[in-house]
Amino acid sequence: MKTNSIIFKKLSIISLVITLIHSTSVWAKRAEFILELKDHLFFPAVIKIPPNEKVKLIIYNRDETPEEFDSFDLNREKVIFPNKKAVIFIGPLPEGEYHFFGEFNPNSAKGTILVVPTLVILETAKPMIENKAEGA
Amino acid sequence: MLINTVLLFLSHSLVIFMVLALLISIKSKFHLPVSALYIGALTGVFMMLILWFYIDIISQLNVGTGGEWLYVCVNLIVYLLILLFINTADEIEIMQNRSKKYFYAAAILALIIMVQGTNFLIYFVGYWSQVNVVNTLFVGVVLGTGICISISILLCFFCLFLNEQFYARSAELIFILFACGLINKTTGLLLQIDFLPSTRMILDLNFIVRENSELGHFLKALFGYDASPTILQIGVYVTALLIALFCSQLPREPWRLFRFKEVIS
Repeated sequence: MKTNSIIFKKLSIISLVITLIHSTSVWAKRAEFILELKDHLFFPAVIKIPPNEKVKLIIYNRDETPEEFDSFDLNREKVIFPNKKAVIFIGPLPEGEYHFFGEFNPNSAKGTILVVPTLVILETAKPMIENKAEGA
Repeated sequence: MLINTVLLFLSHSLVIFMVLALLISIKSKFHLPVSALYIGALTGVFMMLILWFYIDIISQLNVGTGGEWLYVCVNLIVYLLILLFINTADEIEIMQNRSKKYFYAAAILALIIMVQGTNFLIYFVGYWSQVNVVNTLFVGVVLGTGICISISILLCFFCLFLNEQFYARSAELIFILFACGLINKTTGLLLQIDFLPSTRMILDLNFIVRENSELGHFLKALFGYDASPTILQIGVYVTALLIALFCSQLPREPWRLFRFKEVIS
């Protein structure tokens, strides 16, 4: 049993070192996208991001109630407290549509992340799609 | 609102009831007194209230990644505690070993209640102030509790059945898979805050079990099921599982497959 414990400790240290070494490779600056939550609606309801790139999503909660950003497509889940911001990294993703929602208000707080080529993002950068009263 | 409350209660609290069911199913084998579970539950509720009070401050620490770091630390501690707890199964029944078992079981339960309970408490208290939702919240919690109790009773009897008829350490194996599920969640959290390098998802199991289905929620709570994992997540999960099996010396006890066959026939 003692030998097991020594091996277990060694394995733990090795795993930790590998993790730390790997982590240094991801300290690069990421493209940032801002999302706002107001009246249980996401603004903008559609965000376009480039493919095969990890991006930083900053979400501001302007409501007086907490909300949980959730997405089964993106594998992300995070609580955003009232009048606070949250940071989530997503990607790299292949081209396509990825839905997200507010878990506390799933009927109204909905949105989509469109992964499209960089050229398309630049062309449509000006008019960000507006949110509707009943949701995305 | 009612359905949402029930779903939120299930997604956050089912884990607590499952851990309780697993601990109860191996209680007699580990000579674990009920008092250890009571102490663990009470400590967990106390810690949950403290964490709920400070969670918004914690979540803003380290450039908004404080919440993830807290959950990562708790998940790793619970993983280690589960391994240590299962390791005590065959230790000689002396006072020192007995108190170690009590501590591990109570600590596992307390930490799980603290983390999972806080998440639901944020929703519950956050929407408490809204008009006409108090009754809905209460009814949702009552319905959710009923469903969680039913599932945990079924899980407990299922573990006892497997222990008796199939393999003597089935419940421990399920507990180990639960611990590895926590490691999978931890990897997800580290990917979310960009601590680990992300790679594309290697496979999509949504065509078999959708992650947002009832079965998906159940499997996520029990084994940390992820329908679209990356290669890194699979690697970490397999490593955690191998370490756990190695440390717990599984499988060691004889299989009871012949008895299982008798039951089936």
